[in-house]
Amino acid sequence: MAIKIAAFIVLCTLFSCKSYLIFNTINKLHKGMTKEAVLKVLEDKPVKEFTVTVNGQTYDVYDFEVKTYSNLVGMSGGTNSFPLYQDNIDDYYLLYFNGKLRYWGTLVEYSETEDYEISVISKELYNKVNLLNNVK
Amino acid sequence: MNKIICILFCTISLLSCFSNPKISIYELKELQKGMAYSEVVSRVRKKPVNEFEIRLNSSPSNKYFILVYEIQGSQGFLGVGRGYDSDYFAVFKNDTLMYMGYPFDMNRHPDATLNEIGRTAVAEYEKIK
Repeated sequence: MAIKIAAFIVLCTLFSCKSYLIFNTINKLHKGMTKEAVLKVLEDKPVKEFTVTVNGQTYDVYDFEVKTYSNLVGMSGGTNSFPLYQDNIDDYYLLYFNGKLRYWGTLVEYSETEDYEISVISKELYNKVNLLNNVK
Repeated sequence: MNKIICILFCTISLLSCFSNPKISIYELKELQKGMAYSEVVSRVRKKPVNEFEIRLNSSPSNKYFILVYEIQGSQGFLGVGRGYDSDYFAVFKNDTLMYMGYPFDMNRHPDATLNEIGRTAVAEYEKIK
């Protein structure tokens, strides 16, 4: 029994070690930043890198994971009951043109943007992400 | 013993609710561009966590006043009205609310002035918080 509890604690610790971006870090990004400057701010590496080409222009895309909110999923059992939260994680795409940060957001945010150039890129990005996910 | 633990848990939960400076994104839905500072602070249940003034490099004569709220992330109803765990800015110019939103939204907006306000406000807030 003690081994099972120890294994559970180790697993929980390992899962909690996985790092996600948070919005107060993303708030520090601005247009025109280089890839190096962005990585320095985020202190994290992308989970995926790929390119999208729209109207003959190629954009580099870095895919990160961001923690958007936490959900209360229940209470632990036993006498010392405590609330259990589960983090909601979304893919977050950073778009670079000529090595400079042009836009960043979730797929939904790309499709809803008021930025015309990005709204054009949005459809191609959506297709590329679907393609990559299907290949995987 | 169980009763004591239960009472303690409830007390801590209640205290943390009242002391939590974070607000739901729903509470900011009543804000409208054009409102005065006094109207904005009276409409939001909790006080802003910070407020400060900035000037832009591109137009130093213009002053902008920033209120900072902290948003409690939430799923929203069927994904609509979803809020993110993040700071949230209300930007005033001449005591008139001209923009409210997440800093990252300001920084990636097509409007270059809003980009500069966002970038300057984030940098200033990093210094004072």
